[in-house]
Amino acid sequence: MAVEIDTSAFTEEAYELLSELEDSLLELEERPTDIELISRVFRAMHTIKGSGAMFGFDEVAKFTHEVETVFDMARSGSLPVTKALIDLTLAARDQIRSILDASRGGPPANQDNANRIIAGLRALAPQKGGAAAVESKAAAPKAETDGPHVFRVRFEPRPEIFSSGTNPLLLLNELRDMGQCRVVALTNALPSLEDLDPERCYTQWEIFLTTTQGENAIRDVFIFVEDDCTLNVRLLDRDEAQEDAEPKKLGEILLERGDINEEALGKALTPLGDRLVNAGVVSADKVRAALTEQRVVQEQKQQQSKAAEVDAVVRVPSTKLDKLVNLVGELVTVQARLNQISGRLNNQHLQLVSEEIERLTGELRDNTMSIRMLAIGSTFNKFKRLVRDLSTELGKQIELTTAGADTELDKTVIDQLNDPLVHIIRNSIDHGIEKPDVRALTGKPLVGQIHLSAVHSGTSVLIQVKDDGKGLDPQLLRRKAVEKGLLSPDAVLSDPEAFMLIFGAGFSTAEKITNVSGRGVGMDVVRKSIESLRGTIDVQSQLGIGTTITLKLPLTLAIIEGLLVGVNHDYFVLPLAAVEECVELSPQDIANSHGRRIVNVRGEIVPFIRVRERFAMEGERPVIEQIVIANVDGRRVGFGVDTVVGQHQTVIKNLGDSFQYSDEFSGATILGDGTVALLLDLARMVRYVELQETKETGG
Amino acid sequence: MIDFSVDESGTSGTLLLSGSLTIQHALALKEALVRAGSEVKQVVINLDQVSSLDLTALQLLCAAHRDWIKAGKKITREGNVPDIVNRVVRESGFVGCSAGNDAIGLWTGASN
Repeated sequence: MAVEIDTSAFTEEAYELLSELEDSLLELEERPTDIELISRVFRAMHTIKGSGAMFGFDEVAKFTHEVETVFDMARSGSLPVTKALIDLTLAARDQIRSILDASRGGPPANQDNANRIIAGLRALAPQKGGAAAVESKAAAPKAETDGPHVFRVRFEPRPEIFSSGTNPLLLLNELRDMGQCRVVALTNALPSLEDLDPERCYTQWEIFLTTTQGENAIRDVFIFVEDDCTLNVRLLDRDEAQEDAEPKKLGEILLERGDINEEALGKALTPLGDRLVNAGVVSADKVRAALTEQRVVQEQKQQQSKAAEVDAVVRVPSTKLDKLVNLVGELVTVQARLNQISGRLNNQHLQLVSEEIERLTGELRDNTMSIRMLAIGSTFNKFKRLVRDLSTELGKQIELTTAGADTELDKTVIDQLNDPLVHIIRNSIDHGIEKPDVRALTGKPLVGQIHLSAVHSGTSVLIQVKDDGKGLDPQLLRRKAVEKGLLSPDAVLSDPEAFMLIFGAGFSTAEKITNVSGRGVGMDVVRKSIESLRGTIDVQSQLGIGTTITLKLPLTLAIIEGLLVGVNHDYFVLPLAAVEECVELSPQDIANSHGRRIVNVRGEIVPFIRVRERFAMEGERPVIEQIVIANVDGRRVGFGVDTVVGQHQTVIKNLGDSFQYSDEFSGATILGDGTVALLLDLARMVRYVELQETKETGG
Repeated sequence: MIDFSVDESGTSGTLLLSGSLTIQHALALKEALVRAGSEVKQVVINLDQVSSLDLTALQLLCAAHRDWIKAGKKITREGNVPDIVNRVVRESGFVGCSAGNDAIGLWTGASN
């Protein structure tokens, strides 16, 4: 029977490793002598090769082996890290990705390309030593993959060791070359000065060595003095290999080593070391050695747990996670109902249980949501390559800097954010940042800057793409929009409104279409994608100085803070992040506005949309209406409702197919009593109302 | 060079150590240390010009230091502890005085 091997685990891991590889290579380009980075690149390739072979991805393993072989020469210092090496290794990384994509049903990887890369890499390799030398080096680092271990070496030289010409300190230095070394001299055998023979050795040592090499290598250091000493080498961290084992306590170590007995330990507890020394049970040296051992093992354990953090990840398909979030959403809704019922029944026992469930549900909700939160850094890192390749292609010099890479966002938001950000950054590179000669003429630094940042702002995340390019020209934007029939010639637009034109369908100011941008498709897609994420876009620009595009996105798409409002007997939710204030609209206000839907808020005229009218709802308007004023695309717009119920934790449910044409609702939520409330898409409502009014007025 | 001189009052003596303190000079070092311990109540130690030292010197200095503390002698230092001394103290694991008294700062092994 053939055994089915699930290769998805490998491909998932390989994609992650390729992403790491790309980041490391880009960093290495900036710091080509950083040994740690070179090792990181090597390790990533080594793991891809090893796992690839294990899971039957022979093509991946074979190709990666070739690249790894050459890169190992860089690791050993026989090949310098040059731009050519980085370019080829990046190309190799892309080739590995193509092979993986092909295994998942993508187009077949280009073998000619692979051959070209390998030939290029081989040409870089120094000729001396030939292929055999290269092969042997690639196989060498095996011992290091096992990770470092802590050894305790007890070295007790015979007193006469000096007479053979041996200097024990040189042996200690040899150990030091093998890894991180802590040496404790045990001098308790040292007699008084009077009795001391200056040509005898009275000192013994305990050495704590953290090394990737084995016990034999350690013993080899002492091979020429093995008759002149007693040597004890013990692997310390093997005993504590179990994940949950605590590092040993000082008393345990002294006991285990036979330096004290249990009775002595019982007598002297805190502070144990001092008391043991004072009690004369153990020498200060031995306590010092034990403390060193404790510290070294703890440090090593911390190092290991840091490394383990990376590995201690359970991979769960995101569909399972989505289902969990849905279930938690249902639970939150049911819990709200339970709360309402228990309040109505006024039963103390029921209330107690209800409160407890409320607390647990809250914790469960927060935990579940936190599982979906991912740092945006991995998305940011992808753009380093984009900027590097595009700027080279366009003959520009651009540096990408990032900030707030650890800002967390819902996985769904992050997944959908990639394409819009690619478009915005491409646009900055192509249209924003000028070529070096142009920049030189305008007195700007030759290297253009694109700064990508993320920061939390309440329940939203602000993602900014800022460049120091030529900036947007509002006049040119207006002119182009009129030329393309996207704007009437007499339309009056403020500068920020003109900037938003770049997100219009079919809008492009590029004089010529390049591979990068200029077809006027990308930025339209950006707007749609961001809106589908319930986000907003803001553009700030200064001609000649640069442009900043800010995306404001909700932290999560599953649960949001909403403002619950009522119209007739129905309920709606407005995203609280957009809401600025609520004002009352009296019959007098309506009379003053002469039939126009505007409200005077402290002297400011704010237009409003009556939700009742917009959705042709039945029922009479209340005498005093409530106007919820929200910030929609940078403008203040009111929404007229009957009542404002209050803040509501909104678990968003997708609307069914029957609502597919009603895109003024971005979802629905179920209230505590089982009633459904629709979530309003404020930006779309405003746009449709404006469109309708334009048609009505014939504008 | 190893030199021990006692001041006029006869209570304080200065032990001036310089050059190489290796096994070849171990006996001379021991004699100087014994003399210092037996002749004065206060020992001033000067290591400023030490250019090298080995384990034999460390053992002698450690044993003398321990004895003098036990005998209640006052020990002070003049001049710096050269880097080479600190390095050997550090590499040989002699860091920290087991008597818990390192007033002269010889056993810190600290990099200057």
